Amino acid sequence: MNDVAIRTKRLKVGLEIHVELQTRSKMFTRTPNVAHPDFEDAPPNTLVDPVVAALPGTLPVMNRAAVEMSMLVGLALGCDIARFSKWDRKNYYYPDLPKGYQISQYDLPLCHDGEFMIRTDEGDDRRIGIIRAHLEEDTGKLGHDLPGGSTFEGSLVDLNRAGTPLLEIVTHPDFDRAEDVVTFGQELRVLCRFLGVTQGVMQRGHMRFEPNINLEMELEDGRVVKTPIVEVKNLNSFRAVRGAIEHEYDRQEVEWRETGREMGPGAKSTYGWDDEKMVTVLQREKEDAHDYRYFPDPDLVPVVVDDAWLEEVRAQLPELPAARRTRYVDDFGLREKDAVVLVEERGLSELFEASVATLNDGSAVAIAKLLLNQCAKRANESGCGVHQLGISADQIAGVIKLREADELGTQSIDALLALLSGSDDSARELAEREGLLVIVDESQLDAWCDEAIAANEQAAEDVRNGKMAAIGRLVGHVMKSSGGSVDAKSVQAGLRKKLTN
Amino acid sequence: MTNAPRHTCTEIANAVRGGERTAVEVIEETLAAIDASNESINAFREVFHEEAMETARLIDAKVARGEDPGRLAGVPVGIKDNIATTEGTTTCGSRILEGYRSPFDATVVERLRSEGAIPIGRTNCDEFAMGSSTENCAFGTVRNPWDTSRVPGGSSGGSAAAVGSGMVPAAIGSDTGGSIRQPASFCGCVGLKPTYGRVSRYGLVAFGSSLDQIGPFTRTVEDATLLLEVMGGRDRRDSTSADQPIKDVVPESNVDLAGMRIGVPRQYVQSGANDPDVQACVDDVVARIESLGGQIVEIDLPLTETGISTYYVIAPAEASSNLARFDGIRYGYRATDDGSGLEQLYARTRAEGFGPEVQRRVMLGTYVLSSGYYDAYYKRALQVRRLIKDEFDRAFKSCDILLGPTSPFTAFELGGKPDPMSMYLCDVYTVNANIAGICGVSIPAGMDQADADGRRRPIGIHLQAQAFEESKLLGVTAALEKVLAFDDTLPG
Amino acid sequence: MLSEEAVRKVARLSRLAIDESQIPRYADQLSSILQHIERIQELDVEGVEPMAHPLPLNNRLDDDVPNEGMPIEDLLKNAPSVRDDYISVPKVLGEGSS
Repeated sequence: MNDVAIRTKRLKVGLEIHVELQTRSKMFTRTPNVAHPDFEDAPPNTLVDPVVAALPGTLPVMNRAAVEMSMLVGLALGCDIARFSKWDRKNYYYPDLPKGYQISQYDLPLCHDGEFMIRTDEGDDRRIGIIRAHLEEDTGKLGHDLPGGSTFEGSLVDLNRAGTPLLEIVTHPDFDRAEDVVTFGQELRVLCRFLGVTQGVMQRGHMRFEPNINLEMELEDGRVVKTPIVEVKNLNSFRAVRGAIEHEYDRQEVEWRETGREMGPGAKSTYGWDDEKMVTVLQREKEDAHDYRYFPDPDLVPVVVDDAWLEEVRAQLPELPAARRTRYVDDFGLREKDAVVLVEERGLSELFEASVATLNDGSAVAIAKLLLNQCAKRANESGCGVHQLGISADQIAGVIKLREADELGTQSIDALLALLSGSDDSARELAEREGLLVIVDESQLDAWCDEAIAANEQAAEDVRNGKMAAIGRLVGHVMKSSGGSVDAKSVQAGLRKKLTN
Repeated sequence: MTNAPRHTCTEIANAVRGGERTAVEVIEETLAAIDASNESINAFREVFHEEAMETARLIDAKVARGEDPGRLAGVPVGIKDNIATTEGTTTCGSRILEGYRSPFDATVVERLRSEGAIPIGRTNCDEFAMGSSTENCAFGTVRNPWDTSRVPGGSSGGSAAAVGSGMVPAAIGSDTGGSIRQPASFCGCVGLKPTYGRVSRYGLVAFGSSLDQIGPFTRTVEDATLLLEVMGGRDRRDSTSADQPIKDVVPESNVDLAGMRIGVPRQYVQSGANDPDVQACVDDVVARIESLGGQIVEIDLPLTETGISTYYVIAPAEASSNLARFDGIRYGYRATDDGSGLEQLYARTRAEGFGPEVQRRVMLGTYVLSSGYYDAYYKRALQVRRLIKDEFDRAFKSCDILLGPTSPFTAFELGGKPDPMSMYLCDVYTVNANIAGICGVSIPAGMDQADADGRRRPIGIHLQAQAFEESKLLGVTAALEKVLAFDDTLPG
Repeated sequence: MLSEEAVRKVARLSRLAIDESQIPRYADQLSSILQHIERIQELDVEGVEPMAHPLPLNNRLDDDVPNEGMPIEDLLKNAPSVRDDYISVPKVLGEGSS
């Protein structure tokens, strides 16, 4: 145990991310894919065919959609798409691996050499290098839980997940803060959901993270010590990612002090994460665990990407979330935090932009506010996304127009949205029909204002004397008299005119 | 052996289609022949008595209704035990798959059925197709119908013996290094290995995935062509199956040997390389071809012997990975759980379930792929592979067909080659066709000298053509077949 | 060429519980085979592209149309050990493979 003083301690993390792609069928056979929403709750061992079960005599066949989704992600990450890539077998034995090998890509991955910009929680822009992104197939699952809640003494094999297309993305070890790794993971998730390649539901394991962590410590005597790299496997929540890295930051220093072991060949170890105790746990080491004996899969032929195919896929790239965010802030004057929420769902950002385009009068901020407040509330209650409420861009634009013309009171917005949901009528038509429009009968409004002033002398006096806060009471009185059919803004304006002349 | 009249597939199909014979009659006759002969030969592990009769009845009903019963109507076909069928069990000659029932038929089996052929039973083979004598079969060795003290060849010995003995007019097998052609030559029948990719491998239990092909055993080249045409062609379930239209395999009728350039590689006829009988037979065939106007071209294939070395890197490497799925988890044999954990369970299951040859090849394959050895063995073998392919490409520029003996010797005695390496050398002439992916066929051409008991064994001649040139190969072979007029009647 | 220790190691890697009494025999046989394989070392392969596939095929891609799969009975009927709708194995420690 040493107690050498450490001058500087630097964290170094490289991240591996596994993304389950939501194709309809699996990577190497056409059995339904559990990562697709249509099949996500399939009972155990029902998304299986002879190929998935690795029955004798079966052969793999590539899924085009999985390859194209991967190319899309690769392009979004600024990667080079390999013109020639191939499949390799990664050989090892485990009950969740039916063939006794995983089909993957070893030396010629589909995508390589890209980058991803993140905005850290401290407001800096950081560039994270992407080494590669390749395609492979997911394994089945081992469990111990029996229906009914009891625990089985052995392990239970469910092959539903076996063969799901998995995109593995590997970054350069460019991270030196745990929080940046989390930010990156969250941004990547937004991107992948935006591209439609994954549902990104963390609890379902759609995205799993494996940080490779070590420390670089400059000692008092000037020597630089690097601790052995630790790989923490299968983290499927951002809380776990943060926790694991922070835990390693401390634990590796302690271990180095105890053992003196430094980074070197063969010194990499694998840890798991205990989510309850919030600690990393050394996994049982197998001496031959890493001789995967990779060789080209003789049952599959290579993927050759020509210009035509590449351009076809590139044309499907939408404007990416980060660029949209910046545009919303710079061009539309939105607040950063509102822009962030709008780009989390592609459908939402498209609805926003379509609404803005329809109105084309600079009401972007108002539209954003409507979408993120009242619409969001309704969507929450309905258990869907804002863009799934059945309210069109035209209808959103219509609501904003009514608001700007003071023809719709804030208190009536919720009711109108409820009606618009799933209706094809315009906002104006529906509001008119359902009596939600503000009818500005000047003489009636005048009478109500006089009535309110008469009934609230003190408040009226306060307003005359400059205490504007008191006007609320009067406004309330008018709103009550009118049964809410007048717009509060106009009421306030009317009262003010009477009282401040 | 059987005294039943021996028909060809073509004859049987024509008779059933034309109403002269019923499929039921054909099958009854076949089952009787099998029942009479199988005990002494052990070609069949399992016979589909009921299923085949039922299928035959359905075919007859079709004929009665005036519907087309298919080009192979009523033809009984033996299926090698490593090709999946929904009938019976698929064991690959191994204890590790004893009792395994496949829920699907191999593509070739589906296609045969769709043309009215009737799978008649499971023929024995070397375990997981690894062997050249069918002595590595967990369900008993198969004996050569011409001389039951000898091996039938391997690994498709059961299929070869089933046809060679006259039990059935056709059987299918698989060829990874010679496993159709060599037993065909030992058993006196026609054995065809198509170009790699001609016939779907879906349903063939993989051994050497880049080398394996399914092919037919028949009495005639005409039958082999018909079976190939029915079985072959693109299959979406096999990513390595070729696009070339299968009808292209059918040769133009009456190919003339005159003017054909027949290449005889020096290395195939080297002094002392072959048994004297085999050499004499080849010399005779060559002389006959010349007398008919065929042009004999001397060819140099220096990489002939290197083929074995190359093959025994590539095939075991692929096999070691292909056989990893036999782990006792989802199907097949699982050792009893003695509480010592999963690793031990895997290891005991496989050590108890696999025979010694399979274990040898799995270890060999694991070794040549393991870290530190990959470049020196596997990568290098793939480079030599390209050299072997290039060598054939050059050879086929100066000849149409390559010719030589299928095997340096005729069927050897059971137990006659206990040393693995000497067994491997059986395939010296056949193996390079698999490595390069070209097509090859063995036809019976003569007999060796009688032994003390007066028994003689067939000698096979091996013809090879460039990839996808089956029409040329089968055309020339059919012409040769006519000239040789081999009598495949078994001695009394 | 292949020592007994090397055989033990490769047997372990291959998940084959080879009886100790058989190790020397396998070592002999495998050595003899490797001896023969050594011939490939004699050739000049400088600049030769390895050939993993006999056919120059590419892009065998299927459309993403899901099929019916296989009834669960077909999976479970061949399994050596089943519990409810799962295939059962002895307890496995650790969180999953790779």
